[in-house]
Amino acid sequence: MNHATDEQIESLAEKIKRSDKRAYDDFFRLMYPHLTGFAITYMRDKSMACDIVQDAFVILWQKRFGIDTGKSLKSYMYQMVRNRCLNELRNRSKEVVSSELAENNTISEMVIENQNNDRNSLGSLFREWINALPERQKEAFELSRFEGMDHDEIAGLMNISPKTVNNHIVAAMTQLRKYYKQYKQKNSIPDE
Amino acid sequence: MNKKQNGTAPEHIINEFDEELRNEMNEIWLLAGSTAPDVQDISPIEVENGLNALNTRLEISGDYIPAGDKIAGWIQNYSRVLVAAVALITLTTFFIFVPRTAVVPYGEMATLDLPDGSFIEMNSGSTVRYSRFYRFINRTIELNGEAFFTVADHGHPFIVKANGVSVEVTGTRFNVQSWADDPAGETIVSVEKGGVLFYPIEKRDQMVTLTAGESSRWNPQQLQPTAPETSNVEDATAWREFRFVFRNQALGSILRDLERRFNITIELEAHGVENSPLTAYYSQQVQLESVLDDICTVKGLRYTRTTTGYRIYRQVD
Repeated sequence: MNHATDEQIESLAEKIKRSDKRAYDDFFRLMYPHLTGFAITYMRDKSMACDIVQDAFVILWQKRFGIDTGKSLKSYMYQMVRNRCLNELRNRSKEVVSSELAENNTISEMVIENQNNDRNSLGSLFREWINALPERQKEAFELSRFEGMDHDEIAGLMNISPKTVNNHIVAAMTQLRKYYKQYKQKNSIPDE
Repeated sequence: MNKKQNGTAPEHIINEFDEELRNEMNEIWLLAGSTAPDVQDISPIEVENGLNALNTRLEISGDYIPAGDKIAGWIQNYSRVLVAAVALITLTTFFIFVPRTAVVPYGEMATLDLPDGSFIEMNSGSTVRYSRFYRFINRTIELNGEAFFTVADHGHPFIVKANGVSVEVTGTRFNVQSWADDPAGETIVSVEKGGVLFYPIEKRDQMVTLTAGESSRWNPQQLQPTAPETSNVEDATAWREFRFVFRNQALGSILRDLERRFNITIELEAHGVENSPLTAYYSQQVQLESVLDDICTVKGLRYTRTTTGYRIYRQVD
């Protein structure tokens, strides 16, 4: 996830627990770019991602006495940011989903119909296809693809086994290939 | 972050697919990369701005120690220590007067060692409470439930208070059963060794003296506990070895014993059997269902599993 050594972070965690504000600042400087990038993967909005990461750091300071120095503070922060992102997305999607359902379209129908729209580049089609993946598959795939995380890191974050992470990613890519094939057939691009 | 844009899929992912699919999957991986969120790396200036914003928020929430000015920081730290010290003293003062409490969950038993060398074996679902000054002021224990006491002899009296009644002893071994939810509000004391004084709280002149092998009962309707009667103390303390001895015990009370021991709920949906007496012995650890089998056979009842335990109902022919 980033380049600070585990020992460095461990010693920062202990200092933060003892209310060492300077260690806390160092930890912020160390983690902020990575955590923000991570949050952007979920939120796709930089200012929102920054807000969420800052919230997480406020909470870290408030709960500093409860820091478990036996566990990785880095993973703790990633997990907190992930939870806050998912909550935010869930709150938001309640509105979106209900309006989508009102139109009585299944998601895949919408996706395929949209392909006829010329203004869509292949990139934005891929974006829609990824968005149409089941939530967990999408998350595992995006963390792997955009964050460059390995299966163990994703497994720890999503609280599932590395095997399941792998299954999610394979399923996601298989589904994306299906969409892509349909798209190529419709636009009569020959399969190489 | 070029990892987001370029390159083929990592081997551990691509190798999950059949050979002939791998090229296509690499293409998918590559194309998906174009949808990566558009991030420029966070610049050092943005980091410092973020940190400043964060510190403003922490300051507002009143939980911020400025790192810059050492002396000011020291004074601020020091004042915090003072406040903390005052708070600590106040808390400790209150804390000392709050008694210690030991609660044994349903389905478990526990032994509690007291500072004077006495110890208490507690049956499932029982609560014991004693002052933090135990041993310095007096040796008083409050009990709700059932416990077996082994009292170290220090010359000072050891007093068990339970639901309106007191047991006063010096070194001895005895059992007290006193459930606040007992329908009759009854307390039973059985002495294994030594002797005890048994009396309603605040009415020491009504005391009954019990010696080894004797027991006595009291409920709030009585002025005085019953006269000492010779009893089998082993029956009264059978619970300590996970045994059950029900001697003319009301069915309702038996079911409560089972609930506590096995940590389950038993609903009794049959009128008129709640107080019907039953005698049964189980000499060793016994399965709950075999006890229920026996009860139902004798009383003409049936039982069925529920999500939290069992329901007992009347057999309909």
